[in-house]
Amino acid sequence: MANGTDLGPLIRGDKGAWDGFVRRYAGLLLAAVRAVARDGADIDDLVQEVFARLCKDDFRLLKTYDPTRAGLTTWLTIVARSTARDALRRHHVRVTPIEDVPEAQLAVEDRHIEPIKFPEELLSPRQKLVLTMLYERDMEVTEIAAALKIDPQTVRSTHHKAMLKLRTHFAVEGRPEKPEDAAAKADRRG
Amino acid sequence: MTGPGDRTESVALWQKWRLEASAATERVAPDPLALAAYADRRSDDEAEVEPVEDWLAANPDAIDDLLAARQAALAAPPSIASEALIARACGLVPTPAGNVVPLRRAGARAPLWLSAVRWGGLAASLVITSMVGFTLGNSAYSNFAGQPAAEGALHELLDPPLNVFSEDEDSST
Repeated sequence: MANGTDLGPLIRGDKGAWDGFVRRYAGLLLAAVRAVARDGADIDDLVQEVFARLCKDDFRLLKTYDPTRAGLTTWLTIVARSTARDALRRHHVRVTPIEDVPEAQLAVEDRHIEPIKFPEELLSPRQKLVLTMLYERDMEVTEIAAALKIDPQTVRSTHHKAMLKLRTHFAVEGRPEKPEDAAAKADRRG
Repeated sequence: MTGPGDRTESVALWQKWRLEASAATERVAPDPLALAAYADRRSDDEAEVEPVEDWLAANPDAIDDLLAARQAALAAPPSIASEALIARACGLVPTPAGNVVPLRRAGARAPLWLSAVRWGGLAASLVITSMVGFTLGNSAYSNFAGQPAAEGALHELLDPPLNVFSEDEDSST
Protein backbone atom coordinates (compact mmCIF):
# COMPACT_ATOMS: atom_id res chain seq x y z
CA MET A 1 0.00 0.00 0.00
CA ALA A 2 1.07 3.64 -0.38
CA ASN A 3 3.67 4.99 2.05
CA GLY A 4 4.48 1.41 3.15
CA THR A 5 1.52 1.17 5.54
CA ASP A 6 -0.80 -1.77 5.19
CA LEU A 7 -4.22 -0.66 6.36
CA GLY A 8 -5.78 -4.12 6.03
CA PRO A 9 -5.23 -5.33 9.61
CA LEU A 10 -5.97 -1.84 10.87
CA ILE A 11 -9.47 -1.60 9.40
CA ARG A 12 -10.17 -5.13 10.64
CA GLY A 13 -9.72 -3.73 14.15
CA ASP A 14 -6.28 -5.13 14.96
CA LYS A 15 -5.15 -3.36 18.11
CA GLY A 16 -1.45 -3.69 17.35
CA ALA A 17 -1.94 -2.29 13.85
CA TRP A 18 -3.86 0.69 15.23
CA ASP A 19 -1.17 1.43 17.82
CA GLY A 20 1.49 1.27 15.12
CA PHE A 21 -0.54 3.57 12.88
CA VAL A 22 -0.94 6.09 15.71
CA ARG A 23 2.78 6.09 16.47
CA ARG A 24 3.70 6.51 12.82
CA TYR A 25 1.29 9.30 11.88
CA ALA A 26 0.71 11.23 15.13
CA GLY A 27 3.47 13.69 14.23
CA LEU A 28 1.98 14.28 10.78
CA LEU A 29 -1.49 14.94 12.17
CA LEU A 30 -0.04 17.17 14.89
CA ALA A 31 1.74 19.32 12.29
CA ALA A 32 -1.38 19.52 10.11
CA VAL A 33 -3.63 20.50 13.02
CA ARG A 34 -1.16 23.00 14.42
CA ALA A 35 -1.20 24.93 11.12
CA VAL A 36 -4.98 25.31 11.32
CA ALA A 37 -5.47 25.89 15.06
CA ARG A 38 -5.99 29.33 16.46
CA ASP A 39 -4.21 30.69 19.52
CA GLY A 40 -5.46 29.04 22.69
CA ALA A 41 -6.86 26.00 20.90
CA ASP A 42 -6.04 22.68 22.51
CA ILE A 43 -3.89 21.02 19.87
CA ASP A 44 -3.92 17.61 21.55
CA ASP A 45 -7.72 17.60 21.68
CA LEU A 46 -7.86 18.41 17.98
CA VAL A 47 -5.46 15.58 17.15
CA GLN A 48 -7.60 13.23 19.24
CA GLU A 49 -10.67 14.36 17.24
CA VAL A 50 -8.86 13.43 14.04
CA PHE A 51 -7.95 9.95 15.30
CA ALA A 52 -11.49 9.51 16.61
CA ARG A 53 -12.89 10.41 13.21
CA LEU A 54 -10.60 7.87 11.55
CA CYS A 55 -11.69 4.94 13.74
CA LYS A 56 -15.31 5.99 14.17
CA ASP A 57 -18.06 3.62 12.98
CA ASP A 58 -15.72 0.67 12.54
CA PHE A 59 -13.06 2.68 10.68
CA ARG A 60 -15.57 3.87 8.08
CA LEU A 61 -13.44 6.82 6.89
CA LEU A 62 -10.25 4.79 6.76
CA LYS A 63 -12.02 2.20 4.64
CA THR A 64 -12.73 4.86 1.99
CA TYR A 65 -9.04 5.44 1.41
CA ASP A 66 -7.82 4.19 -1.95
CA PRO A 67 -4.03 4.09 -2.36
CA THR A 68 -4.31 4.10 -6.17
CA ARG A 69 -5.87 7.59 -6.10
CA ALA A 70 -3.73 9.44 -3.55
CA GLY A 71 -0.86 9.03 -1.12
CA LEU A 72 -1.74 8.25 2.49
CA THR A 73 0.22 11.22 3.81
CA THR A 74 -1.62 13.59 1.47
CA TRP A 75 -4.99 12.13 2.40
CA LEU A 76 -4.31 12.20 6.14
CA THR A 77 -3.18 15.83 5.99
CA ILE A 78 -6.38 16.88 4.26
CA VAL A 79 -8.53 14.88 6.70
CA ALA A 80 -6.67 16.36 9.67
CA ARG A 81 -6.97 19.95 8.51
CA SER A 82 -10.65 19.71 7.62
CA THR A 83 -11.48 17.91 10.88
CA ALA A 84 -9.61 20.48 12.94
CA ARG A 85 -11.27 23.33 11.10
CA ASP A 86 -14.73 21.81 11.64
CA ALA A 87 -14.01 21.25 15.33
CA LEU A 88 -12.82 24.82 15.81
CA ARG A 89 -15.90 26.12 14.02
CA ARG A 90 -18.15 24.08 16.33
CA HIS A 91 -16.41 25.19 19.49
CA HIS A 92 -15.94 28.82 18.59
CA VAL A 93 -19.01 30.92 19.19
CA ARG A 94 -18.81 34.26 17.48
CA VAL A 95 -20.38 37.02 19.49
CA THR A 96 -20.69 40.55 18.21
CA PRO A 97 -22.17 43.08 20.62
CA ILE A 98 -25.09 44.88 19.05
CA GLU A 99 -23.43 48.26 19.70
CA ASP A 100 -20.63 47.25 17.32
CA VAL A 101 -22.98 46.54 14.43
CA PRO A 102 -23.52 49.57 12.18
CA GLU A 103 -27.12 50.73 12.14
CA ALA A 104 -27.24 50.41 8.40
CA GLN A 105 -26.86 46.65 8.74
CA LEU A 106 -29.70 46.43 11.22
CA ALA A 107 -32.08 48.51 9.12
CA VAL A 108 -34.74 46.70 7.14
CA GLU A 109 -35.55 48.19 3.79
CA ASP A 110 -38.37 46.93 1.70
CA ARG A 111 -36.92 46.83 -1.78
CA HIS A 112 -37.65 44.57 -4.63
CA ILE A 113 -34.40 43.79 -6.39
CA GLU A 114 -34.44 41.84 -9.58
CA PRO A 115 -31.54 39.39 -9.33
CA ILE A 116 -29.14 39.50 -12.23
CA LYS A 117 -29.39 36.45 -14.40
CA PHE A 118 -25.83 35.27 -14.45
CA PRO A 119 -24.69 32.30 -16.50
CA GLU A 120 -23.08 29.92 -14.04
CA GLU A 121 -20.86 28.50 -16.75
CA LEU A 122 -19.40 31.85 -17.81
CA LEU A 123 -16.07 30.91 -16.27
CA SER A 124 -14.67 27.39 -16.19
CA PRO A 125 -13.69 25.91 -12.82
CA ARG A 126 -10.03 26.29 -13.77
CA GLN A 127 -10.51 29.96 -14.64
CA LYS A 128 -12.37 30.62 -11.40
CA LEU A 129 -9.65 28.90 -9.42
CA VAL A 130 -6.85 30.88 -11.11
CA LEU A 131 -8.64 34.18 -10.49
CA THR A 132 -9.29 33.20 -6.88
CA MET A 133 -5.65 32.40 -6.33
CA LEU A 134 -4.51 35.60 -8.03
CA TYR A 135 -6.91 38.10 -6.52
CA GLU A 136 -8.05 36.57 -3.23
CA ARG A 137 -4.98 34.63 -2.16
CA ASP A 138 -2.53 37.11 -3.74
CA MET A 139 -0.47 34.26 -5.12
CA GLU A 140 2.18 34.72 -7.80
CA VAL A 141 1.88 33.08 -11.19
CA THR A 142 4.73 30.71 -10.41
CA GLU A 143 3.11 29.70 -7.12
CA ILE A 144 -0.19 29.04 -8.86
CA ALA A 145 1.56 27.02 -11.54
CA ALA A 146 3.26 24.90 -8.87
CA ALA A 147 0.02 24.47 -6.92
CA LEU A 148 -1.97 23.40 -9.97
CA LYS A 149 0.93 21.51 -11.52
CA ILE A 150 0.62 23.40 -14.78
CA ASP A 151 2.88 25.65 -16.79
CA PRO A 152 3.15 29.34 -15.74
CA GLN A 153 2.24 30.33 -19.30
CA THR A 154 -0.94 28.27 -18.96
CA VAL A 155 -1.78 30.28 -15.85
CA ARG A 156 -1.33 33.55 -17.74
CA SER A 157 -3.37 32.31 -20.65
CA THR A 158 -6.16 31.08 -18.37
CA HIS A 159 -6.22 34.42 -16.59
CA HIS A 160 -6.34 36.38 -19.86
CA LYS A 161 -9.25 34.36 -21.25
CA ALA A 162 -11.18 34.67 -17.99
CA MET A 163 -10.79 38.44 -17.90
CA LEU A 164 -11.92 38.71 -21.53
CA LYS A 165 -15.09 36.84 -20.65
CA LEU A 166 -15.76 39.02 -17.62
CA ARG A 167 -15.21 42.28 -19.54
CA THR A 168 -17.45 41.11 -22.35
CA HIS A 169 -20.19 40.07 -19.96
CA PHE A 170 -20.21 43.25 -17.88
CA ALA A 171 -20.12 45.31 -21.11
CA VAL A 172 -17.70 48.08 -22.00
CA GLU A 173 -19.79 51.00 -20.66
CA GLY A 174 -19.89 49.49 -17.19
CA ARG A 175 -16.17 49.14 -17.04
CA PRO A 176 -14.29 51.52 -14.68
CA GLU A 177 -12.26 54.08 -16.64
CA LYS A 178 -8.52 53.70 -16.69
CA PRO A 179 -6.60 56.76 -15.47
CA GLU A 180 -4.84 57.20 -18.87
CA ASP A 181 -8.21 57.10 -20.67
CA ALA A 182 -9.61 59.78 -18.34
CA ALA A 183 -6.52 61.98 -19.00
CA ALA A 184 -6.86 61.51 -22.76
CA LYS A 185 -10.52 62.54 -22.63
CA ALA A 186 -9.67 65.66 -20.63
CA ASP A 187 -7.03 66.64 -23.25
CA ARG A 188 -9.53 66.23 -26.08
CA ARG A 189 -12.05 68.49 -24.30
CA GLY A 190 -9.41 71.06 -23.50
CA MET B 1 1.19 39.77 -16.90
CA THR B 2 -0.85 42.91 -16.13
CA GLY B 3 0.15 46.43 -15.12
CA PRO B 4 -0.98 48.01 -11.83
CA GLY B 5 -3.90 49.80 -13.52
CA ASP B 6 -4.98 46.64 -15.28
CA ARG B 7 -4.75 44.70 -12.00
CA THR B 8 -7.05 47.17 -10.25
CA GLU B 9 -9.60 46.81 -13.01
CA SER B 10 -9.25 43.06 -13.03
CA VAL B 11 -9.72 42.86 -9.27
CA ALA B 12 -12.82 45.03 -9.51
CA LEU B 13 -14.32 42.84 -12.25
CA TRP B 14 -13.50 39.68 -10.34
CA GLN B 15 -15.06 40.98 -7.11
CA LYS B 16 -18.17 42.05 -9.00
CA TRP B 17 -18.49 38.58 -10.47
CA ARG B 18 -17.94 37.04 -7.06
CA LEU B 19 -20.71 39.09 -5.48
CA GLU B 20 -23.26 38.31 -8.14
CA ALA B 21 -22.49 34.73 -9.04
CA SER B 22 -20.71 32.90 -6.28
CA ALA B 23 -23.76 32.42 -4.05
CA ALA B 24 -25.90 31.11 -6.88
CA THR B 25 -25.04 27.48 -6.36
CA GLU B 26 -24.29 25.69 -3.13
CA ARG B 27 -21.28 23.55 -3.86
CA VAL B 28 -20.93 20.21 -2.14
CA ALA B 29 -17.51 19.71 -0.63
CA PRO B 30 -15.61 16.92 -2.38
CA ASP B 31 -14.62 14.00 -0.18
CA PRO B 32 -11.08 14.01 1.24
CA LEU B 33 -9.94 11.37 -1.23
CA ALA B 34 -10.97 13.50 -4.22
CA LEU B 35 -9.09 16.48 -2.76
CA ALA B 36 -6.06 14.32 -2.04
CA ALA B 37 -6.18 12.88 -5.53
CA TYR B 38 -6.24 16.40 -6.94
CA ALA B 39 -3.34 17.40 -4.67
CA ASP B 40 -1.29 14.43 -5.87
CA ARG B 41 -2.44 15.03 -9.45
CA ARG B 42 -2.73 11.36 -10.22
CA SER B 43 -5.58 11.94 -12.64
CA ASP B 44 -6.22 14.45 -15.41
CA ASP B 45 -9.78 13.26 -15.87
CA GLU B 46 -11.84 16.45 -16.22
CA ALA B 47 -14.83 14.79 -14.64
CA GLU B 48 -12.81 14.37 -11.44
CA VAL B 49 -10.78 17.58 -11.62
CA GLU B 50 -13.44 20.17 -12.44
CA PRO B 51 -15.71 19.67 -9.40
CA VAL B 52 -12.68 19.99 -7.14
CA GLU B 53 -11.46 23.17 -8.83
CA ASP B 54 -14.96 24.61 -8.76
CA TRP B 55 -15.22 23.95 -5.02
CA LEU B 56 -11.72 25.31 -4.34
CA ALA B 57 -12.58 28.52 -6.18
CA ALA B 58 -15.62 28.93 -3.90
CA ASN B 59 -13.66 27.97 -0.75
CA PRO B 60 -10.26 29.64 -1.04
CA ASP B 61 -9.24 28.52 2.47
CA ALA B 62 -9.09 24.96 1.23
CA ILE B 63 -6.32 25.94 -1.17
CA ASP B 64 -4.05 26.04 1.89
CA ASP B 65 -5.08 22.42 2.63
CA LEU B 66 -3.99 21.48 -0.84
CA LEU B 67 -0.62 23.16 -0.53
CA ALA B 68 -0.05 21.77 2.99
CA ALA B 69 -0.90 18.25 1.83
CA ARG B 70 1.62 18.52 -1.04
CA GLN B 71 4.27 19.80 1.35
CA ALA B 72 3.58 17.01 3.86
CA ALA B 73 3.96 14.38 1.18
CA LEU B 74 7.41 15.70 0.31
CA ALA B 75 8.93 16.23 3.74
CA ALA B 76 9.10 14.43 7.07
CA PRO B 77 6.67 15.80 9.68
CA PRO B 78 8.26 18.63 11.67
CA SER B 79 6.32 17.77 14.85
CA ILE B 80 6.95 14.97 17.30
CA ALA B 81 3.92 13.75 19.22
CA SER B 82 4.13 13.29 22.99
CA GLU B 83 3.70 9.87 24.60
CA ALA B 84 0.57 11.14 26.33
CA LEU B 85 -1.00 12.08 23.00
CA ILE B 86 -0.05 8.72 21.49
CA ALA B 87 -1.40 6.78 24.48
CA ARG B 88 -4.65 8.71 24.35
CA ALA B 89 -5.12 7.96 20.66
CA CYS B 90 -4.19 4.30 21.12
CA GLY B 91 -6.91 4.07 23.74
CA LEU B 92 -9.55 4.72 21.08
CA VAL B 93 -9.27 1.09 20.02
CA PRO B 94 -9.76 -1.22 23.00
CA THR B 95 -7.60 -4.19 23.85
CA PRO B 96 -9.12 -7.35 22.36
CA ALA B 97 -11.30 -9.59 24.61
CA GLY B 98 -8.83 -12.51 24.50
CA ASN B 99 -6.81 -11.04 27.33
CA VAL B 100 -9.79 -10.79 29.69
CA VAL B 101 -9.83 -13.37 32.53
CA PRO B 102 -13.24 -15.07 32.48
CA LEU B 103 -15.35 -15.09 35.65
CA ARG B 104 -16.19 -18.41 37.33
CA ARG B 105 -19.42 -19.97 36.12
CA ALA B 106 -22.45 -19.26 38.26
CA GLY B 107 -23.40 -22.28 40.32
CA ALA B 108 -19.90 -23.73 40.42
CA ARG B 109 -19.53 -25.77 43.62
CA ALA B 110 -16.66 -25.80 46.10
CA PRO B 111 -14.92 -29.07 46.91
CA LEU B 112 -16.88 -31.36 49.28
CA TRP B 113 -14.29 -31.35 52.03
CA LEU B 114 -14.30 -27.57 52.12
CA SER B 115 -18.07 -27.54 52.60
CA ALA B 116 -17.79 -30.16 55.35
CA VAL B 117 -15.17 -28.09 57.15
CA ARG B 118 -17.34 -24.98 56.89
CA TRP B 119 -20.49 -26.60 58.20
CA GLY B 120 -18.57 -28.52 60.90
CA GLY B 121 -17.02 -25.33 62.13
CA LEU B 122 -20.39 -23.64 62.27
CA ALA B 123 -21.88 -26.55 64.25
CA ALA B 124 -18.96 -26.64 66.67
CA SER B 125 -19.24 -22.94 67.34
CA LEU B 126 -22.93 -23.31 68.07
CA VAL B 127 -22.28 -26.18 70.55
CA ILE B 128 -19.55 -24.28 72.35
CA THR B 129 -21.68 -21.15 72.58
CA SER B 130 -24.56 -23.21 73.96
CA MET B 131 -22.37 -24.91 76.56
CA VAL B 132 -20.88 -21.66 77.75
CA GLY B 133 -24.28 -20.10 77.93
CA PHE B 134 -25.71 -23.04 79.87
CA THR B 135 -22.84 -23.03 82.35
CA LEU B 136 -23.10 -19.35 83.03
CA GLY B 137 -26.81 -19.53 83.41
CA ASN B 138 -26.66 -22.51 85.76
CA SER B 139 -24.01 -20.86 87.94
CA ALA B 140 -26.12 -17.77 88.22
CA TYR B 141 -29.13 -19.89 89.21
CA SER B 142 -27.18 -21.82 91.81
CA ASN B 143 -25.81 -18.65 93.37
CA PHE B 144 -29.24 -17.15 93.49
CA ALA B 145 -30.75 -20.31 94.96
CA GLY B 146 -27.95 -20.63 97.57
CA GLN B 147 -27.02 -24.07 96.43
CA PRO B 148 -23.38 -25.11 96.12
CA ALA B 149 -22.12 -25.03 92.58
CA ALA B 150 -22.13 -28.50 91.10
CA GLU B 151 -18.89 -29.94 90.01
CA GLY B 152 -18.22 -29.19 86.35
CA ALA B 153 -20.46 -27.80 83.69
CA LEU B 154 -20.37 -31.11 81.89
CA HIS B 155 -21.83 -32.88 84.97
CA GLU B 156 -24.58 -30.29 85.10
CA LEU B 157 -25.26 -30.73 81.44
CA LEU B 158 -25.31 -34.53 81.44
CA ASP B 159 -26.81 -35.20 84.88
CA PRO B 160 -28.91 -32.24 85.89
CA PRO B 161 -30.17 -32.08 89.52
CA LEU B 162 -33.58 -33.59 90.06
CA ASN B 163 -35.12 -30.35 91.17
CA VAL B 164 -33.90 -28.14 88.33
CA PHE B 165 -37.12 -28.20 86.41
CA SER B 166 -39.32 -28.62 89.46
CA GLU B 167 -41.97 -26.05 90.07
CA ASP B 168 -42.14 -26.84 93.84
CA GLU B 169 -41.39 -23.70 95.89
CA ASP B 170 -39.69 -25.69 98.64
CA SER B 171 -36.92 -26.76 96.28
CA SER B 172 -35.91 -23.14 95.61
CA THR B 173 -34.79 -22.41 99.14
